Amino acid sequence: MEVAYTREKLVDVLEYFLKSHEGGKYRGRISQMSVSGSSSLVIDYEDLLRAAPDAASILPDNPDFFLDAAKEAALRVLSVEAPEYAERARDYLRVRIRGYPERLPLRSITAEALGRLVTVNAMVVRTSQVKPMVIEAVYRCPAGHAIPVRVAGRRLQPPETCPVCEAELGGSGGGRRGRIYRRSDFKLDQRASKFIDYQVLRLQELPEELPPGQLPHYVDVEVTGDLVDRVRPGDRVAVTGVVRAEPESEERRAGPAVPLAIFDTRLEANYIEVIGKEPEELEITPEDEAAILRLSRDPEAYSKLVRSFATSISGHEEVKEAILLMLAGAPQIALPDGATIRGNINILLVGDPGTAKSELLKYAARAAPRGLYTTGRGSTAAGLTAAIVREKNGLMVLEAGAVVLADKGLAAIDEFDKMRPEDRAVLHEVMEQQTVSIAKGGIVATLNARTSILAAANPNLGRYDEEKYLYDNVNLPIPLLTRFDLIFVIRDVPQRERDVELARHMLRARSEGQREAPPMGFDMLRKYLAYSRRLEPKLTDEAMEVLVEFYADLRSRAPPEAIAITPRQLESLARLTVARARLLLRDRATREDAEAAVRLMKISLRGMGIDVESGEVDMGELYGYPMRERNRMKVAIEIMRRLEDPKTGLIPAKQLIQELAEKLEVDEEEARRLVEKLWRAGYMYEHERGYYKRTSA
Amino acid sequence: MGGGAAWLRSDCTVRLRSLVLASLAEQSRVRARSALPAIPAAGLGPLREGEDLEVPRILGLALIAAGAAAPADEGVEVELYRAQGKERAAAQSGSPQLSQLRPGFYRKVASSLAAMELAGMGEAARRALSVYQDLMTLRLQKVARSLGYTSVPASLPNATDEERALFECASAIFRRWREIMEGVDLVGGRVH
Repeated sequence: MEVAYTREKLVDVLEYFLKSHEGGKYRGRISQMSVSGSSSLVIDYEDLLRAAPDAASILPDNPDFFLDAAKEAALRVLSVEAPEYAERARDYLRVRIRGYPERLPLRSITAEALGRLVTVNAMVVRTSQVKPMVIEAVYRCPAGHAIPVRVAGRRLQPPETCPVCEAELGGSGGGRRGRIYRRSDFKLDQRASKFIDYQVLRLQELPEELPPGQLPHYVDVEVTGDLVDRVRPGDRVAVTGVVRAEPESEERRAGPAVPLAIFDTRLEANYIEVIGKEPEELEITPEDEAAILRLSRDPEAYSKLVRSFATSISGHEEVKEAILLMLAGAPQIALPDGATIRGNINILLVGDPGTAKSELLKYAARAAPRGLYTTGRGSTAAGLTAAIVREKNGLMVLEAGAVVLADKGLAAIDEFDKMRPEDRAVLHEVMEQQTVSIAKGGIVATLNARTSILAAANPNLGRYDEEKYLYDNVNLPIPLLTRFDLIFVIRDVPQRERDVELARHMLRARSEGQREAPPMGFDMLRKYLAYSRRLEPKLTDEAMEVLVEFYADLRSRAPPEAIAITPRQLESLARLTVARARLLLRDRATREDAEAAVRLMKISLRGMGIDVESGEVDMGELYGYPMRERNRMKVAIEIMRRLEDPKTGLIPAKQLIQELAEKLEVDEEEARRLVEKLWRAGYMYEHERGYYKRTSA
Repeated sequence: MGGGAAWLRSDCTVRLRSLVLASLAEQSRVRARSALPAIPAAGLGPLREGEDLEVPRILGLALIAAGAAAPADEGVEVELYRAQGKERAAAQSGSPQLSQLRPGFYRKVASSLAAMELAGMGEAARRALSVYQDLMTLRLQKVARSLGYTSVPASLPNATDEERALFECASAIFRRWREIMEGVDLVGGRVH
């Protein structure tokens, strides 16, 4: 039944609600406001709906009318509980509505929603600086009289006249018509004016709400008072607010801007709830939970999970297994001194073209609880991490990039080798420290980026050359390579049996025949992964023993002067072990988990040409500086010293290459490659055409 | 005098409760819901439905609780609204003085609220209670403020019996608190 309320009636109803609901729940909150100095009263919508349903029904369509009446009611109660504070808070008090149920996807904020109260679930991508906004401007006329002006909207307009001066002039019988002053005669008195904090947030549609193939929608949100600075870029929020429209204006060379008939949509925030820093919980029903637990107890659970992953891609079982472990991840470990050890697993796929790397990346981004896919070609440093942008109105805003938005999730970066080195370099911090630090445009901030990086790169010359080291095959710097827990080299080598299988698999998708159903559907797999991430398994003694044995064995087999396996790889093994226990929903990581982690690490190393089963292990081979190579570099430096001109320090390039080839018994091409490596490593530089110089180091 | 809390229980709240309980002996008016036979022990003759009678409040509440009668005192709501309005206006003007209430105001409101509750008039009782709470808050703030002065005033003008009882109990605690914090007990060796 529609009940027409006058403002006074609504204020009465709400005052009674605030005073009497649940034995004084809100009366208590209001009386605490003066103690805590707060200017917000939060009302639970459910309480309102139960106690005053007729009044609550006004809220969706007439939020301004309702909120104004609610403020008046709150002030009345406050004037009893703390009369002096009520007077002070009159301009600042805001009634905020929590738990408002009308939740809309961001793209549903259309003309129909104007003036309505809505709640949107979205992701914060930008936050502006916090600035003071005047709500009551006090102007002084040339005679010094104060004229308060309430500010509605965002335009500040001096008064037209001074009522005091006018009354004085009128009283003196001057009978003067027209204005005494011009607007420009009035000066703003900042000390007497009232200000509140003001900030603009930009919300972006949640990736999971984005219809396929559509661009994400944005909306700017104005927040004031105690809501400012409550959220950071990357946070997922539910914002309750009133949809407003503001006319766009056309800038002209001369004269004032002309308002257009087209309006900008903005949301005036009433309440902001940060929806956990955790990736949004997929709705897991009790039935789902039962199914998940049932599967985890299946002895074949692990292989079923791997078989359910990216079923459209044939083969690559180990890579799939590793990505699955990556999606489960290991918990971040907080040390007593406040430092943290990352739990996220980073994986690099290096491979020949057409080996389904991109498909794997896209699938992983979709399966991850919070996944984003981007390519190296289309990504810049700022786009990946965070950018400071200047808005039209001059505000500097902080905008979160892909890895910040994927906090506690996965960022899949394709064409990793094709990124500009300076753009790629920003990932160093993300991949180890798990943060993004930015200091630009007066904003210094560190944002969380606990993001797993799944990257794919093509070999330099199109195909992976087994004769070369990894470093020479992909155009990636060593410090970045060492941050990947696992690197898989995917080669496209013709093998009849496998090729027939692959061809059949690919053609099956287009055939009439029945496709083989995976043990677990995609939605269920996502739920399973989300569920598994709740666990924090610990390593058992047996698991530790396996890892320690592998680590010590590999280190002892490194020849003198070679680069042995590093503690970084041990950390990687521990992460993989724990991730596997998580995937099987166990709270303890067992020997079996550790063995699986070791197996994956071995596969990864073998792919890069390091046989850990036999012989010596030189991890330097991964990164282009194996022992043999370093010995050759030493020889080259010796020759350079001998050849350099004592006066000018110049080294003739041709002679250097010839002598090097002779000494090392290699051809000139190989010698040239070695010189290039020295040059890239910074031992020398080309001083002029045909002449090198050693660097002082 | 014993320790603070025990002293408060044994003396202060007993005094306050006795003030309110004394109202049970005062006369109150009830209306018979149905015809009632004579109750000679209570001094009641037979009653017709709708007939009003004056009885001690304790008996009136018993009849209301038994469903035999309804409260017939003139409602307290109007008086409450009036008193709250006066007190609020005084608070807004910044006056530290209490406004005057008629004698026995609190006792009457307390028993009326109890009668309304017993008669199943819960919603009306809650509305009246909400106004009553405002009034109490406004008056208690003034009582509490006067306790915070360095020299607690000897009396509160316009205070009711109940407020005076509270003021005296509380001012004794406040004075004692100051003494202890000023180290009087350490010098004189008074230990409680």
